[in-house]
Amino acid sequence: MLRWILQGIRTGIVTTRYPRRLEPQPNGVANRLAVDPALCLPGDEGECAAVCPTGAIQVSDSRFGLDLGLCIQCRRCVSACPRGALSFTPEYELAVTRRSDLVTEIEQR
Amino acid sequence: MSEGPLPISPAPAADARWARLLAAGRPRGGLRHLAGDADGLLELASLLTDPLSGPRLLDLWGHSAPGANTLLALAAWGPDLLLYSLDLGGGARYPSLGHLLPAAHWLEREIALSSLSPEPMPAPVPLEVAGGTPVEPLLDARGIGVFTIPFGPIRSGVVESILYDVATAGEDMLRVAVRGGFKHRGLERRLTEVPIDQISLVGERVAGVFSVSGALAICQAVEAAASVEVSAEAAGVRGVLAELERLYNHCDSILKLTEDASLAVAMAQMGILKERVLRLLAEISGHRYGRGVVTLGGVTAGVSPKHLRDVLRRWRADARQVRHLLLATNSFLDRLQRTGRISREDVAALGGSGPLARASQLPWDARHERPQGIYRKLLVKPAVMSDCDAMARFEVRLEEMRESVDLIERITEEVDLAAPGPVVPVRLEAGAVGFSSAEAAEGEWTVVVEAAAGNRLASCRIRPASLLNFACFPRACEGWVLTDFAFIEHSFGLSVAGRDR
Repeated sequence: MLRWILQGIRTGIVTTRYPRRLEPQPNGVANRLAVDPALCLPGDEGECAAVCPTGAIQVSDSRFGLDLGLCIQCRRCVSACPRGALSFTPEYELAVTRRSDLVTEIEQR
Repeated sequence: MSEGPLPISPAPAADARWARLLAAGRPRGGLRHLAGDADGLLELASLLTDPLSGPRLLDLWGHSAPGANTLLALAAWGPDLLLYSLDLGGGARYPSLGHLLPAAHWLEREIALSSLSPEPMPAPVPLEVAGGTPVEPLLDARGIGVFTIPFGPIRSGVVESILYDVATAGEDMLRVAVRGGFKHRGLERRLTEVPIDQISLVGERVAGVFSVSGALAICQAVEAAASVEVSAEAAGVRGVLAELERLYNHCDSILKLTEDASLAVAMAQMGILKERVLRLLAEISGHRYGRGVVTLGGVTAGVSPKHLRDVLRRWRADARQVRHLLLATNSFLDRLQRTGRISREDVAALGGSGPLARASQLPWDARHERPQGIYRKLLVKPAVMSDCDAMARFEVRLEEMRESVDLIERITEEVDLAAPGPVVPVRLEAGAVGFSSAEAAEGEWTVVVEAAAGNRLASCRIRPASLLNFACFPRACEGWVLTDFAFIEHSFGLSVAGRDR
């Protein structure tokens, strides 16, 4: 047992201060999908919506809709968007208390 | 104690009959396909009765369609695979194999849930729960003081839903029965509904902790049906992800064993090792379970070999230290030695695979027997132990963790992981058949697909290792005391989600 205690002491503290301090995620981890309204333009053919396997993205009548409750973070939309309007942000605290807070709609300009 | 892989020695009589059946089959997508009648099915079954020295049953399932029912049996002997199909037309009955082959027993109880019907029925109790109906007791155990403990399907902690009925007189487990299906999701059917380029997404979700193995097995089966070969580099990236998945799953299994033994520091150490592999996977793939990289026709991302080697070098040194301490902790080893013994014969007869089989002297490892992708170059040597108990399963995992790191290093030397090349387009011809297997941390997953017109799947059969390994679980528990249950369960390291799919 003493050897385990020494092993624990050698390892030191590895737990983080989360949630008091946010723990950074490795680069490239798919967390929150975000759209840049400046790059999402009317007339785009909705390539992102076409490749979305769950219907989380809806594009119609110059409106872009994203439902994070349906997004499975497969990243296909990010690759498909010809303008690079979609990206994953490092933010991982996605819990909300209202379902509607997971839905984003923007007017394409 | 470790032994070298045991030879798979052919039995001469079975050898000739097996060769004749194989020769009669038509080569299709990595296997030979033979359509025959009920007598032929029974002849095949008679060849599979001695899996220790001859071919063995890998899977048995049915397709139901109005007027076109089919029973399919998949058998293997080393690299040779035979898919036998029995056309039942509009009929539902076929001669049961469960009475000849214990491995078929559970599979037929699953078949009995469809419109097909083995004759005679292998067991009066269905394998799965019927939707919404109350669960009747699985066991009819009688005797003075004997009672049944229903353990599950909901248990404390974040544990998958499965029901164990344990018959006991207070201490010893006299009989154990397992029933799942509480969260069946119909994923095999879903795979026939989604566009072909989305099958990897479904494959990743068959069992979360086997995301890579699931996607790999399904993509490889479809690629075999389309006669598509991915680049060596893409196969290398797939191999790296599969070995990292094995590493964190083996860490998790050992972590749970240390938790069962109340070794808090050991548990923390295993948790740290597991977390470091999960973070490495997240860096490589963008997902802690390695999702999103394995795709039909290749991979979507490369891997920096230098970073991989650097991280794993440090990980291996730390893992060696923890391994050394675990093997020197008698209070821990005492709980594993002789616990949950299941003989080589029982595991073979029930179709067990993975660490469960290798801990019972069976050198069965899909990476060795039926290597696909990068494993054709690596020549994996199965880690085989002889004591058939929880300790042997723990030792197999320790050995495989060491070997997985070696394999990843060898892959980085064999191929350029940073440049996996473009994804190869896959075009399926209607009626094409493909087979694949993947050696997940829990055992061998097999997949058989058949293509439909329009570049879609007509059918997809997934047989996760856990489906048959759970059949071995009651045998390992019976005769041991209730406090051994957790050690036996965690030494099996099975996924309920995969079993329920």
